[in-house]
Amino acid sequence: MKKFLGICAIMLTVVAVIATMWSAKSAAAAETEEVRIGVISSLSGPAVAWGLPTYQTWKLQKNMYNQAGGVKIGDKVYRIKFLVEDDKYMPEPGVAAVKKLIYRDKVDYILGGISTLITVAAGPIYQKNKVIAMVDGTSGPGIGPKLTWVFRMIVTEFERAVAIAGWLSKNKPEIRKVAYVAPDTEGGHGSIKIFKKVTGRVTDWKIGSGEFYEPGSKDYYAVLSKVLKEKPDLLYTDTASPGDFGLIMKQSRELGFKGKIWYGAITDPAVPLAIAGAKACEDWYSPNYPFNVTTEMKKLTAAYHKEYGEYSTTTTCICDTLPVLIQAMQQAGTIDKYKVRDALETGKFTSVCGSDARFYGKDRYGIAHQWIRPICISRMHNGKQELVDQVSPKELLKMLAKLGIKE
Amino acid sequence: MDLVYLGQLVLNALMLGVIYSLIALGFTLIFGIARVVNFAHGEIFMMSSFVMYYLMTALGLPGMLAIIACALIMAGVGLVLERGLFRRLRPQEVGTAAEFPSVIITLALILIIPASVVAICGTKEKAIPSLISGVIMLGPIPLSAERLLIVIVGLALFVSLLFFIWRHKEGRALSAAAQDSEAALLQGVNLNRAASVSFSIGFGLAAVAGSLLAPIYYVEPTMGPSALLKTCIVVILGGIGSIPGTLLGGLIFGFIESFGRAFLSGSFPMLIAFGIVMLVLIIRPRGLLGHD
Repeated sequence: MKKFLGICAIMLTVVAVIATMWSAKSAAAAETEEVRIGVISSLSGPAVAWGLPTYQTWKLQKNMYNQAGGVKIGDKVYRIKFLVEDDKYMPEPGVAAVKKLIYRDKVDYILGGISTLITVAAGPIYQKNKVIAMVDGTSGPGIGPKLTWVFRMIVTEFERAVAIAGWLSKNKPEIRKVAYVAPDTEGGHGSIKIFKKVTGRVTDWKIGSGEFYEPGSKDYYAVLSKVLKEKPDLLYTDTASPGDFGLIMKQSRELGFKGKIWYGAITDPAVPLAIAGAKACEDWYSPNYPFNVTTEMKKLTAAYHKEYGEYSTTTTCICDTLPVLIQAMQQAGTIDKYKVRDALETGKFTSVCGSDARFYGKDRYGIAHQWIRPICISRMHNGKQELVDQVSPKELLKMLAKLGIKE
Repeated sequence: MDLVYLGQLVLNALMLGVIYSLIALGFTLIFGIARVVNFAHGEIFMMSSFVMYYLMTALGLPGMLAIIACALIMAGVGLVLERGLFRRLRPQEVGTAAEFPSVIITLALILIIPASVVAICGTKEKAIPSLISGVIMLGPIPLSAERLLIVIVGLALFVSLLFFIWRHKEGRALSAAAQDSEAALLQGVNLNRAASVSFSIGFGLAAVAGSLLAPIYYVEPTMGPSALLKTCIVVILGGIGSIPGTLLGGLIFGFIESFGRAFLSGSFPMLIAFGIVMLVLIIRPRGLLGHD
């Protein structure tokens, strides 16, 4: 009898322990919820070289959050779930992708959209359905006062030009005369328009010769001979492919140009360096973010390299998109989209590139939905890209004030 | 316009001219002898650049050896294509040009070659180490040593080719086949052999152009169409099938580009070049030094 009662007691204890553990697990599962975020990126098509690393970076960041147990928002813990669509860098598939995410998958947040055409076409859909869109296209019409749910997460060429022109003007007083070359395309003409406007107001440089070259031509001797005959101190170019930019540097040095070169876009330095050589690349200034610019950036780019076998400059450009959305949710204390939108508009954020990052742009874009963060000034020296300085958002706003642009 | 700038423009024009002539040389030879308009010439040029890239970077061959190896490889490719494809399409009747079917083959090659290159090598631009570095000063005018080398090699090739065509027995056989295939056949010239030789040499010349130019520019799968466009301008100006005409056409085009860009920007110099090409086609359709 005693033996029977003993066995029963032991069995009851075991059952009680198992039941307790089971209910604890269920309770834990109940407290960890899911935040569903739509992602559109160019996973195929002409922009896959940008779109694929973009998605891969966000996926890596999502996995890092989830592997750490999720993100604490308010008093709950959320795991991040991505719902991914390929926009093929074309308006029709892009809009179809947005519609699938909104109408079929019922997401409240969408990351991505490097094509301005897609962003402009999808803008009314975001607006009508009140979906927060964190886009990464850099052209002007992507955000505006009628798009109160769209936020641009890439620093555009305009802000980059202001930062670099302002910094070079202040720190390199030997620059007095500048020249430019750009491809004879809409993008090339647009970039020169910005360059002229910015340098005219932020610096006291004299703009000398400038030329537009036929896209696809690999021989720039004729064009460069023309712009360099006035012996400028700085040669500016933008929107050229990394290979063409390498040729412009190489050929300008062959023609005897010894001044500084400013390339307006963020680009992988490996290709121009391989084409032009270290000597020709000396004193090449750009807004490139070195992969180790901050501890966070170093960690992210190292993880990207481990996962995908390469470093990508795209990572440095779009690395704030998901973290900023998460920070906004945490500041709002909820995943309620209305409160998150308010937090995006009013909050202060920590960028992967440093603190003091935020949205601005009420004066320039009609709505303060343009992301600004520390802008790097990088210089190529002895074949290596080195960080020379950073222009903080505060300093950038002071420079923008010279152009009559307030917050 | 100051003299130094003028001197730079003239030097640019001469260098560009020889470069364009070099690119077009293989094209004109193949048409001149085998009567095939090789629209895939630009893709052959591009493919040669990639072969050069891998010979130098993967196999570590020194520059000049890599150029010779590249030329031999591509000559072999030309031989295989001529024997395997174009010979089967050559009209049985002697004296008629191998027109439509061969054109279709070359158009197919325009699609096949870059797609194959992308599949094997990817789309990223590739840089080849310079064959020779440094800048030589001609007074106050800088001259890239690399480009000077190309001009010297290019002119040497032209002279060698002319010597071969005019003096060597094999070359004279090719010339005879080009002028009158029926008469050449009666004289004992093997027309199939002539076509094979012309394809081999033509592809080899495209390979020399591609491998010499790859280090001064860079290598990527989309460089073919631009090379073909410039080739067409050069051979129409100079006369298709004429080797001296190719050099003349190239120099004219080089001067148009160099001086055109001094006074006009964007695509206007190319517009002028095309305008002159149209004038030549109207006034002298066979080109400046072309044959009937």
